[in-house]
Amino acid sequence: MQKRLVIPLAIVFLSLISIAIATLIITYNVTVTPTVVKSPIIFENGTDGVSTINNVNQTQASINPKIFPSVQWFSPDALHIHNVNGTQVKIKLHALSVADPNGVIQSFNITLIIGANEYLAIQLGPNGTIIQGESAYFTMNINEIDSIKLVTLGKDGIIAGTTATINLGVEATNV
Amino acid sequence: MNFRKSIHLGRFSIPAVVLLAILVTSVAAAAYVVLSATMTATVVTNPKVSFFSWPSTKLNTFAYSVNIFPSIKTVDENLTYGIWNWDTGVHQTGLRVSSITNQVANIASFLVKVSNATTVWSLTTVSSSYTVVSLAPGKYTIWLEITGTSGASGTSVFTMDMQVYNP
Repeated sequence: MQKRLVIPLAIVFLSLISIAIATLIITYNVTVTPTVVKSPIIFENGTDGVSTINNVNQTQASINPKIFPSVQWFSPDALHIHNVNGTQVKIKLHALSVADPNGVIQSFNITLIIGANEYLAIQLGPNGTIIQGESAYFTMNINEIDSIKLVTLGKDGIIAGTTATINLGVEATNV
Repeated sequence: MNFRKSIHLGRFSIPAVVLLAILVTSVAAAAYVVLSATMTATVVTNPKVSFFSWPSTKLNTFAYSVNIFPSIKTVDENLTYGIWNWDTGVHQTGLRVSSITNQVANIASFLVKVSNATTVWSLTTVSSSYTVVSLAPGKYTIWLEITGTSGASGTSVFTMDMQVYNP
């Protein structure tokens, strides 16, 4: 008789343990509701005619610099960065990636122009080697527009039509 | 970390879980965005205005040597190199002599004259700024005059820079 009760009692006991464990599990609900807002900064074309804005929201851009063998190429106003946030923002330029598979770059400098001042932000050496990969933080006032200046210098003997690609990131955060 | 514990700050004690929530909020406040711009640099062999060696070899730079003599003007009427606007349109182009080594010791005066039918540039001083002209299509000769000082010796290197707009 006692042996017959062992299995049912064991099942009941295990069930009680399961219920006890289940009661220990607490689920916290955190609601995350992403809200679409305007980007704090946007890109605008510079006056040199070498840039293209790629999307309606003006958050992606392409720049098509030239690179000449043994000659410096300048674009003093390649692209604009415009603070449309309604408050001050801090920006920082990053070289997110550099690809120079044909080794055409002797040097490639990206400079941020704020008013009359120029600040070297990104500096690449031979074959796209990153010498300086990011800038300091710069504060942009409301509605301020800053320019990006490019200076390229190609290595001697490079072949026309070959390319190098630099992906530039502009970080924007609150002050 | 036991979140039921309290952190004591002076007379106050704050539950650890509340402190953690405050820290999380601070991290959230430092959120940022990253916009991206892609730059594709394309190699072009020569600017639309470039140096060249006669008759038609485009060059982005050249080196030229000339002998000068103390207290004598040396004239090299047509260098084997020139300037060529090989485009179909006018280009704003600047020229300057940016430096001369040992200038005081060796060079009493100099003239760099660039012309075809008429003189386009006539440079007699070292300058940090360019003399910019609207350069029409065509080939231009370089004329060089250098007068050595009475005690001139050794070498002096002239560096000439050309600036081309919309290259």
